[in-house]
Amino acid sequence: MIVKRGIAVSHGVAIGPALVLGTESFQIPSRFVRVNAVESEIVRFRCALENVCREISTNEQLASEQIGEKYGAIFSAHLQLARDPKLIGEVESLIRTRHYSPEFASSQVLRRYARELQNLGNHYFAERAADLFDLERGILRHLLGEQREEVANLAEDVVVLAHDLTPSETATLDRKHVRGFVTEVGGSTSHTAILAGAFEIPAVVGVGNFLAEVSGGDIVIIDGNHGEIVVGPDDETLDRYRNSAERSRSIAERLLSRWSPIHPHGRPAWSPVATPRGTRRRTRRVRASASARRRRS
Amino acid sequence: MTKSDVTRRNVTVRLSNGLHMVPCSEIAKLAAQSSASVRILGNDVTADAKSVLDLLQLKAEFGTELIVEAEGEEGPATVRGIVRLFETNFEPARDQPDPASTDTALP
Repeated sequence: MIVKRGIAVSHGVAIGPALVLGTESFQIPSRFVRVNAVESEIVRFRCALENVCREISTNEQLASEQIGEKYGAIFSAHLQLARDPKLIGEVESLIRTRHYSPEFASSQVLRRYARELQNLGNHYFAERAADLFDLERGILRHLLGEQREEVANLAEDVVVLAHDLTPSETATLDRKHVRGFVTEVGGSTSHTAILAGAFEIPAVVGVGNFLAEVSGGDIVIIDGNHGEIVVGPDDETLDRYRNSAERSRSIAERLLSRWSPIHPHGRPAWSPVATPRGTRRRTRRVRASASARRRRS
Repeated sequence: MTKSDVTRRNVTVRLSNGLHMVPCSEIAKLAAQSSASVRILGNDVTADAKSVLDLLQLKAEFGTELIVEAEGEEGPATVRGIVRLFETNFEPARDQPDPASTDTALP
């Protein structure tokens, strides 16, 4: 569990799987696989890795021929990395014992090693982390193949983590499924802050470097009230945040279901799903009148 | 010799950028071809020589002294091969490597 502090720019709490922008431009669709699919998922991982190796070999050849053998050696190193028995062993063990999806497992393992390199305290070694991210991207690209999810077309709710959000990135974001934002840089006037305000979702900016510590799909809590984020929360923390989120939601829903006229489609006309903006305002008003009622009775 | 015999040699890193990814990958490539179990020790780390990721954890910079050790029948030959990489400063074999001019580094 990692806790980071930043600047709170939009209130509320969001909990969801991470979508890391910039370092990886696709979403890891599912973090777990069915127990009976473990073996076929391992085969899928090996195929993807084999394809990555083939790709690196081609690059090695091209680089050696066109810019010199010294550069080819870099790809040769990448190839050795992709065939690293520890890497393969650890990824397969996560799939087998913890039923991680190959995508999630690869990302977890490579990012952990990248983090270790960055922590060695030697600039030259720290830069090698980029090579691991490169390999991660390669594996994910092959694993996801055609299923690769566009950021614009998310299948599930996510919290978006990025170094900074560029206008083009935010323009393509699927508003329906983005539950919160966190950025490494930025202040209260950053793009993220402005967008979070427009989206009315929790956001924390200016957290500092932390993206290397997150894998796509990791559960992240964004506490837009206190400017805090929690990556990979333990059960206790998760329960605490869920309960408080649940409590405020259930009060709102209880009140709404009792007080609101029922929408023709069976949903309260200003249900939280339909219009978050309306809900918040209405909830406050409902809450106020409910307490007034209690006082009266 | 028995299987439990360990071949051990000391080496010193002479690469100006330390034992970074390219040289690590050359060691791993060599070790992976051997049936012996090969380890490199240094900086309080024991690295599996067949794993680039492990070797990088040695954080071996210029001047770091390391121990190469291997067990198994191919152990001595593998250790010799790895020591040779250090002695030639990871320069691709140019027939007669000159251990005296070991100051050039790979990219």
